[in-house]
Amino acid sequence: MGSTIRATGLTRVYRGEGNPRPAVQDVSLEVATGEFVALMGPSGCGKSTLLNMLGGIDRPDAGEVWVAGQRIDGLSETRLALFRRKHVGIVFQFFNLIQNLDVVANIELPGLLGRGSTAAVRVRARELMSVLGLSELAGKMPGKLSGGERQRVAIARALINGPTVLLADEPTGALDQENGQGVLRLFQELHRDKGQTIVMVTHDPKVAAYAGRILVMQDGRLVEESRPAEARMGRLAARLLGTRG
Amino acid sequence: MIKEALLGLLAGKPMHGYDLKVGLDKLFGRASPVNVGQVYTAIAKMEKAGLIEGALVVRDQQRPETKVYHLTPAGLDSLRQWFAEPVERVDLRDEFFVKLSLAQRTGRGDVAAIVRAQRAAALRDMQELTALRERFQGEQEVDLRLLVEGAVLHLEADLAWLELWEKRFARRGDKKGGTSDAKRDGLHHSSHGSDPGLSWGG
Repeated sequence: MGSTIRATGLTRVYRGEGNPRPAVQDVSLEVATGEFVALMGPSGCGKSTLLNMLGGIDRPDAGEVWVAGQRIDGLSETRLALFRRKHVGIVFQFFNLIQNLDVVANIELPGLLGRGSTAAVRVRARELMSVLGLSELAGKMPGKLSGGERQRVAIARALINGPTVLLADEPTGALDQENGQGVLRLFQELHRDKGQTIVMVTHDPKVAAYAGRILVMQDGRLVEESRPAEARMGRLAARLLGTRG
Repeated sequence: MIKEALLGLLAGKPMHGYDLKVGLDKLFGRASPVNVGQVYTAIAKMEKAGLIEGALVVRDQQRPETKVYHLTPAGLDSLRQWFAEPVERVDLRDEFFVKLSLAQRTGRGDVAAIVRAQRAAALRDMQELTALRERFQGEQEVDLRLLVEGAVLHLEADLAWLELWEKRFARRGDKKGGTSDAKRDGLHHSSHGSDPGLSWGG
């Protein structure tokens, strides 16, 4: 399996008031095609900055970012915008839906801005709404939806152009536990059934635990990595559940 | 774990048997009392295994000689190995607390590395429990689901607790260049002054 994202030596320095502050320092990572990865760490550790550089939203001061075989850190703004439209789907904490467009129009919008035919976008939107359980809500306005429903609409919108990678920044941050788990299960299904590559930022280990691999960030650096092992899982189940497991 | 705790205590300074027993009581708290017999049995075994050595010392003319123990290089290796391994599960006052306390107090273990290894293990448990929880969605399995949920919440607390250790010791240790082990000379020097306010309770 090849890698969808490859970053080497990424550094990003914020120069605001006072001394320049490195938000990300010399980070290298690879995300394999079809992988579901969580970037975890306390607020201010640089995880969102890193995510934004991987998605071509922010540019590194040093280092390289390769996505889908293309180096993106040196692209012009215009090319970067085209690259993002084609390869990157983004989900935010606060959904960012357009309030005066209904559900289906919100989902279709990035597709219509792209090069896809209107008919193809319509078909794809209907497909996504069915997968994400939104078919009943097609004509509703965002203001009438629950938080969980809004986030599912945002996910459908992020997927309309069939992105190479889905990026999510605290996607459950504004949801209650039940709706949050719903969104995370959806990510797992997209990853498992559709082979969608996903990189998700969160401060919450309970959220990160849904990913196949967790990268822990601290003070702008990756400090450790965790992935589950089948053998341990059996032991854990046996210990926790006794004979019933 | 008595063996490792004794090694850790001796990494701080040479001690005689009774002091080691008192040291263990302080480490473990009331949760798991250790009797004197257990301590002396453990000491004898460790001496035989070459992890510690005892030397007879005269304390005063009125009393018989007493044996003071110190760590051997093999004992220090054994202690380091223990420091390097994550423990299976974190509970307050358990092996992990004892390990971190001793690593911090003696300067023989790298607190930052211990915290990182333990966090990686806790995250792996969290991933595995999350997958396990998804298996129990039916009404009949609600108790199992809650059992797993409880374990997840315990882990969440463990992770938050690790962060406290990190804030208190590990990052500061990093700035000083990690463990002070390399700077130490002999194996059985006293380590007074390396205990910045850690409460031993008990």
